[in-house]
Amino acid sequence: MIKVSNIERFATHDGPGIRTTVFLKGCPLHCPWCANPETWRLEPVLMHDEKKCVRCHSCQTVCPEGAIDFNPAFVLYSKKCTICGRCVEVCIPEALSVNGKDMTAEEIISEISKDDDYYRNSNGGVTLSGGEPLFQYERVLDLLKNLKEKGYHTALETTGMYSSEKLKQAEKYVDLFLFDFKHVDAGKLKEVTGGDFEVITGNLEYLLKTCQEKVIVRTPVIPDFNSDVIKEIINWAAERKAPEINLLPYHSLGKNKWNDLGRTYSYEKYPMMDKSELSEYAVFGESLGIKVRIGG
Amino acid sequence: MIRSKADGGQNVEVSIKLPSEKTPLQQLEIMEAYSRAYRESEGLDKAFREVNCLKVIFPTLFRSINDEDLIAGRLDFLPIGFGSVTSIGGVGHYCVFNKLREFRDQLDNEEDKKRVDALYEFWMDKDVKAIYCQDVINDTTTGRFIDCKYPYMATARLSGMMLDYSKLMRLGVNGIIELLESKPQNDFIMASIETMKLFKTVIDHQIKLVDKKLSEFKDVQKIKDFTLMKEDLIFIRENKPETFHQALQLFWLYALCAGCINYGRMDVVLGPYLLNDIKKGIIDEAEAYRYLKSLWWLIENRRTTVNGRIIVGGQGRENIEACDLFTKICLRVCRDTRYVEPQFTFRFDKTTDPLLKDMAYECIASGATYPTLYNDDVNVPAVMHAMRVERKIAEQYVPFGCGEFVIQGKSVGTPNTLLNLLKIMQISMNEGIDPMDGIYKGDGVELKPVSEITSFEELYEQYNRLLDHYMDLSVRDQKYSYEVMNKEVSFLFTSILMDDCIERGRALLDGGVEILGGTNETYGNINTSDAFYAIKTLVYDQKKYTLTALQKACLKDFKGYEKMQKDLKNVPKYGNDHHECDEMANMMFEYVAKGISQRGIDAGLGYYLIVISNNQTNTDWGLQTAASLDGRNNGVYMNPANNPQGGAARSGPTAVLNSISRFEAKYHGGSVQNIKFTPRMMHEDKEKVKLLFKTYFEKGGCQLMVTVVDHGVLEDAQKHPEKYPDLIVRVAGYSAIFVNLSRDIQNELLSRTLYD
Repeated sequence: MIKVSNIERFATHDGPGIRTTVFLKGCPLHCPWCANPETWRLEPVLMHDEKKCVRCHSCQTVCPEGAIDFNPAFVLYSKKCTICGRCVEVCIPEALSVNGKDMTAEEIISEISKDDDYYRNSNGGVTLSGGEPLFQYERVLDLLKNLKEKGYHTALETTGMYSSEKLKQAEKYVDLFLFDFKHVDAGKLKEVTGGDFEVITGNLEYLLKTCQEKVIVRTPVIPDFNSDVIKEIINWAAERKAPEINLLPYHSLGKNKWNDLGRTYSYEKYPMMDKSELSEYAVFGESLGIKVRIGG
Repeated sequence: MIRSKADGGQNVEVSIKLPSEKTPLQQLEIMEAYSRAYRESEGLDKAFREVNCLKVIFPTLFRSINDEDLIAGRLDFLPIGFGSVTSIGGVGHYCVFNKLREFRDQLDNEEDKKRVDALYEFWMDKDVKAIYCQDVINDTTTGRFIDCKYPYMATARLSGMMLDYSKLMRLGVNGIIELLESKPQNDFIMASIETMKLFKTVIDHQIKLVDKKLSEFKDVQKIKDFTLMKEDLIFIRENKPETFHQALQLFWLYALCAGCINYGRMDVVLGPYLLNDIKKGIIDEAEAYRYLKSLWWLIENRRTTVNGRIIVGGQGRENIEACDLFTKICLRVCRDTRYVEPQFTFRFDKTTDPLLKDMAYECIASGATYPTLYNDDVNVPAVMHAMRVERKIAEQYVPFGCGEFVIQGKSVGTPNTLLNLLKIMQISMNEGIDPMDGIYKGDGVELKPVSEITSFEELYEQYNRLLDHYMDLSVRDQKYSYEVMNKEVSFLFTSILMDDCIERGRALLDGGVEILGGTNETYGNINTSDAFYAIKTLVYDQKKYTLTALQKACLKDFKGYEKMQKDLKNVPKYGNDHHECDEMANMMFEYVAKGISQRGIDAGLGYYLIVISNNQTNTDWGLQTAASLDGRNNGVYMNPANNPQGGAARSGPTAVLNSISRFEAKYHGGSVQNIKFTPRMMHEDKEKVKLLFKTYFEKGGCQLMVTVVDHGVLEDAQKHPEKYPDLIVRVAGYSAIFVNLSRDIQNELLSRTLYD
């Protein structure tokens, strides 16, 4: 079984053409701006939308583990929660939900195949995202093989945080890597995201050497993290002959999910970044011979 | 005062009509004169009575030409008069009783009010619709249009007539008169000749109105414009049109006199004149743009809300170069004007010039809601099957009003019957009682209590039994509407330009029209199939609840049964590309579509087809429809047209389009679908959205209407209407200024999924 967070059809931001993006569970990093924090853990997670909650306490009443309390707002004792789903069933305003479900590769492909005509007409396909899609390595590798056998264009939206052997195996079944490259400073990267600079850059450099046409480097531009080193990042990628880098302006659209998970979103104070704030980098990239796109 | 059965709102009226130019007293005198002409013509053939009455209102009711107009012809209508459709007056010799009462309230003289009362009384048994309602409307099954207490509404109207204007162009006024004179003379033919002569007096009157303006103008451009107007009016009075402007002028005046509010394939009619003028250097494209912009304004000013169709493109056109040139200019006008009417409609197929398709896309992306898109690769073969006509005829299909098809110049397809499938379902499950008001509406059909029903098949069969009965009523009343109208009027202006009235020497509904069809508007189709699917899933597959328990909760509007309602809502819904659920919708669609169609054939109609169109009746009827087992609450809007219930589509636009394209177009007479995108998506993901549409159409999508609106804008417009005077949205079969819509309809629009 593959642990899936969500399947999004008509995804327009994750590769060429009309695509279906499969968000997979599990991630080795923990970027504090993450837009999909519900994917970090492999296991299903309970989410609670305070805006929808009417504080009827039905969930608390029905919970066999005593994992729910109100003080007066909803509180979840995660350690006690077994994700039995009873609270979700009784929650009339749908404030509670469980994210994460087990699916077989066949089930995933069956969902994907509903839009085959759209992929064909638009040269689109399937993007695996997450989380880190290769976090569930064996099963996802199988899924990739399966997808390739069926002729899908495959894209992998990846952190690069896994062994080079795994990458070498997976590479055969991936048509496009949307490869996250977040920082040029190993210490900062480790400190903020938990990512290992050597591993990530090693993998990226490998891909750029062996199949650079299959790689788009992606950098989320995050205030107080990497927004001051964007030129260095572009430079790094250009030196290694990356054909294209996408700069993704910081957005706070994941904020609600942090709240729903009962966690604090530490980027609250930063306003959403406008694309135009990054336009200077397009010119800069041009001077280095690398295509810089703002947005993904 | 005794009220007529036909008294009450009779049509969807969002756009506010321009008030008559005449003083109330003048209006009263005209209505009295009309009534007198009617009375004095009793004993004459209906055709002569009609023309005598028409002489009272034409040219009198034409109002002065606006300084900015480039085409002459603005027409008022009064609560009493002659017409075809309820959007501008009424049907045949009509009295719009509620409007007459409103008119009465404007008068301050008691004597004058009594004169109005006398008119009201006089028309009570003479208004064509009232005659029909008297026989058809009852207290249990059948409401008048629009009275939403019933599962079924019936009306007499002649909606959607799109005339053969090419014939008018080809022959000119005199040519038509000569043609009529060449035929064996009977009352209809002789009255038609009189009608065409009356048309000449309308032209004469316009010339006088132009002269009046010319004597006032100082501006050189205006003098030039009005001089051309005058010259062309004089020309078309005696000759076939030769220029684009003359053709436009002739078409427009005739459409006004015929009471037609859908215009049809204007590229076919006018395109050749346009191209010819441009080739000869008579006008340039900029000048043509001005004329068309003026036409757009004239149509907008008629305020016919759900009509005003101008159709371009598609199969079955001869001079494609000319038609496409016309289309190109219309697209520019449409984008620049952003009016709710004309409902600009673009037919296309695989061979359509990609440049035109791109222009159409840009126009939609700009937020104009137009053009609405019709896929000829699907629709032409579908019309061949549905109307049982050959390709050449099917190619001349045109959607009118909210999306019903007719054949231009050849068929009548007025939707005089309307079914609320959801109400029928509820009545079928409640021993004939409508849970909304507790009134028995089962009309004698044997219906078991749900406690005695033991299988899904039995439940479904019971629903179909009641539906069959209502379909029987529908076809009977549709046919009867033609009988009543035919007994009273000849629709002379319309008959003259409809095949094959002149050849046969018979009025439109007297055996004149080549194809006497008809349509039945069905509502709540998706709520019904979703409800059946939910019952099947929860009662018979999962065995989570009994049917009796579900029914009990539903009758209580789910008060105290919220958990059950949540379960009902969580059963997969149409619009999410869920195979079994969509199959249920398709099975039920085919049952009603084939049921109506076969009844039409058996009754001898050219065709009788369901249309899954919509104006705002899904909301109006929903307000008076009880809670349903798709989890919908009491009094909530029903699903719009062929779309999912608001909020039910949660799987993205490809999923909704896949669901929507599942119904085979060959079984219906028009089905419309809306989709809502943000400007961001329409612009930044332009190529992907284009490919989305392309794929949908290749998969069998017959039609699409697109609203482009940003997040939060509709919500803000509810709060601050003054900030959004020109925010256009697609309601379903028509577009409207959002802030002019009622709150309920605004809420229904808000509930629809917005794709970003």
